[in-house]
Amino acid sequence: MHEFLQLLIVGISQGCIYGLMALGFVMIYKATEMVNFAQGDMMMLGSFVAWTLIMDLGMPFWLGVPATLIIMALFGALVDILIVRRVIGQPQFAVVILTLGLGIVFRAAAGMIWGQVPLTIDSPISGFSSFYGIVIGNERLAIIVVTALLIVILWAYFRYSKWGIAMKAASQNQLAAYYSGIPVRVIISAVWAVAAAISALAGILLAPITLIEPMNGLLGIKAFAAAVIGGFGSMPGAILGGLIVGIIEPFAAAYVPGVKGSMVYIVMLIVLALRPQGLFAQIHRKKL
Amino acid sequence: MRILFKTNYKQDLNLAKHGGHRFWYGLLVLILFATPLMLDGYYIGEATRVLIYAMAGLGLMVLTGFTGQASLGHAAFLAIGAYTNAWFLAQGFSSLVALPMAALLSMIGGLLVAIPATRMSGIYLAIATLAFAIIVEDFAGHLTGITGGNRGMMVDVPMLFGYKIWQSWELYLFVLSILVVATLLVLNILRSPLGRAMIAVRDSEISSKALGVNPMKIKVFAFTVSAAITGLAGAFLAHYMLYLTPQIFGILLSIQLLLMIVLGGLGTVHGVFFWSCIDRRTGNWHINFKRCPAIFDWRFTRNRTIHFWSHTN
Repeated sequence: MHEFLQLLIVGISQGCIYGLMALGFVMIYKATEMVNFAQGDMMMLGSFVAWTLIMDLGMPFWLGVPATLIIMALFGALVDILIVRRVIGQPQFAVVILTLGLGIVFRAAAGMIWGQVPLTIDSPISGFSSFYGIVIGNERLAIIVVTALLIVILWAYFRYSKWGIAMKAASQNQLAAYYSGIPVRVIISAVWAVAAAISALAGILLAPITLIEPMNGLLGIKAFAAAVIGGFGSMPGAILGGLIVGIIEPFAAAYVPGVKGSMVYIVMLIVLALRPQGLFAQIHRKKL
Repeated sequence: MRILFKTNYKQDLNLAKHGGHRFWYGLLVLILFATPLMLDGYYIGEATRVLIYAMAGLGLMVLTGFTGQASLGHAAFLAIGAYTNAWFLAQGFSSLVALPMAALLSMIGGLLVAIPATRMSGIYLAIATLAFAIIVEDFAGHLTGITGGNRGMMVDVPMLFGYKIWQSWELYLFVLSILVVATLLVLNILRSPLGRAMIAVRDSEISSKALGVNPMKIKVFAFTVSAAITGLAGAFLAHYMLYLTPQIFGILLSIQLLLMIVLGGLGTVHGVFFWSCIDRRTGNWHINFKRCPAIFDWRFTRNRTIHFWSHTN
C-alpha cells in the first residue's frame, strides 16, 4: 500500500507535465484543427530559454520564469504568424509534415545554440517532504501545485475573461465568431502564444528533475499519447489523459518491467481501437 | 514535345512510353551497375545507403503516396526486417532464406497493423503507426535472446550459395539488383487493376466504393506490400550498419522516411529516388543541419504535396 502511494504520487507529478503539454496540443487543435507535433520541442526551447536567462544572464529565478513565459508566448505567436498560419485550410497531412519539420528545426537549432551537453537550472526549490511516510521531492510537489494552480487560472480565464470566451467561440465556430466581431486571426495567434507559454512552463518545471537537452522534445510524443487517451477535443481530458499516462509509467516499471517503455502506447492503441474519440471526449466532436 | 501516336490500347500499359524512355532508363541502370568500376569504397558505401533508403522510401510510397495512408511508423518494419535477417544469418542460414524471411515477417507485422489501421484515417492513423513503431523499438530492446537487447548485435555478411559477400561493391550490386526488382514490382502493381484501385482509394474512398473497390482490402494489401519492401530494406540496412541496436529504429528514422517521400513528391516513384539522394548528401554538411533542409524545401514541393492530398480530405 505504501509503495502503491509512493508510485502514485510520482506518477501524478510526471503526469502533470504530460498533461500540461497535452493541454497545449488540445488548445491548438481546438482552435485551428491542427495537430502541432512540435509542442514537445517548444517545451524544450522553453527550458533552454529559462536556462539562458537564469543561469547565463544571471536573472533571479522568480524573474526569469515569467520572462521565459513571455518570450516563449511571443515565440509561439510568431510561429503562428510567420509559418503555420499559411497552411490553414490545407489538408491535415500538410500540417503534420510542417509541424514535424518545425520540431526538427527547433531541435537542430537548440543543438547549435546550446550544444548537446545537458544543462541544469539551479532551482530554489529543493529537498524532500514526507507525509505519512511517503517521501516526495519538493520539485515534484511544485509541479503538482503549479499545475493545479494553472488549471484553476485557465478555467477562470476561459470562463470569465473576454479573451478566453472569444477563444472558445473561435474554436467552436470560426465563421460565426468572425461575424460576431471576434478578431479570429489574432485569437488564433493568442492561442499559440498561450500554448507555447504553457509548454514552456512544463519545461521549466521539468528542468530540475531531468537535464535540459535538445532531445527532451521527444517527450512530446508521450504528451501526444496523453491527448489521444483523454480525447483530442477536450481540455480536462488532456489533463486527465496526462495523469493516466504519468501514472501508468511508474506502475508499469514497477510491476511489469518488460513493457515499461511501451505500456503507455499499448494503452493508447487500446483506447484508439475501442473509443477513438478518447475517454473524456466532449459531446461536440470535431470531424476527422 | 514528343507526340505519342498510339495505335493500340496496350500502349497505355507499357512501362516505357516510348523509345527514349527505354534508352535513358536502360542507360541509367547500366551506369548504376557499372558504378563500382568508377567509384572507390567510401562512395560505394554511401551509394549503398542511398539505395537502401530508396528501397525503404519505395515501401512507404506504396502506402502513403499511392494509397493515401500516412504512416509515422515505418522504422518498425525496417527493424523487423533487419533483426529477422540478422537472426537467420546468425543461425547459419543463407541470405536466400534470411531475406525472404525478413520480408515475410515484416509483411506479417504489416498485416497486424493493417487490420486495426484500416478503420482509422488521417491523424489517428499516423498516431497509431507511431505507437506501433515505439512498441516495436521497445520490444527489440527487451527480446535479449534474439536481438541482443540494448547492447546490440553483430550482423553477419550476406551469404549466397555458400559465397560470403564481403566487399562493399558486392553488397552494392546485391542491393541494386533487389532494388531494381522491387521498383519493377511496384511499377507493375501500379499499372494493374490493383494499383489503380489503390490510387482510387487515395483520391476518394467513397468514389472508389461506388466503383466496386473494397477500400478495406486495398488498404490491407498496400500495408502488406509496403511492409514487405520496407522489411527488405531493413535487412540490407542491417548489412550496411553491421551492428544493430534498437535506437537506430527510433521515431526519428520514421519521420525522416516520411519527410523523404513527401519532399520528393508524394505519388511519384521518381520522388523516392530523387530525395533519397539529396537526403544523404545534405547529411554530410554538418550533423546539426542534417534534417534542416526539410522545412526550407517544404514550400518548394508544397504544391505537389497538396495536389496529391487535396483529394483525400
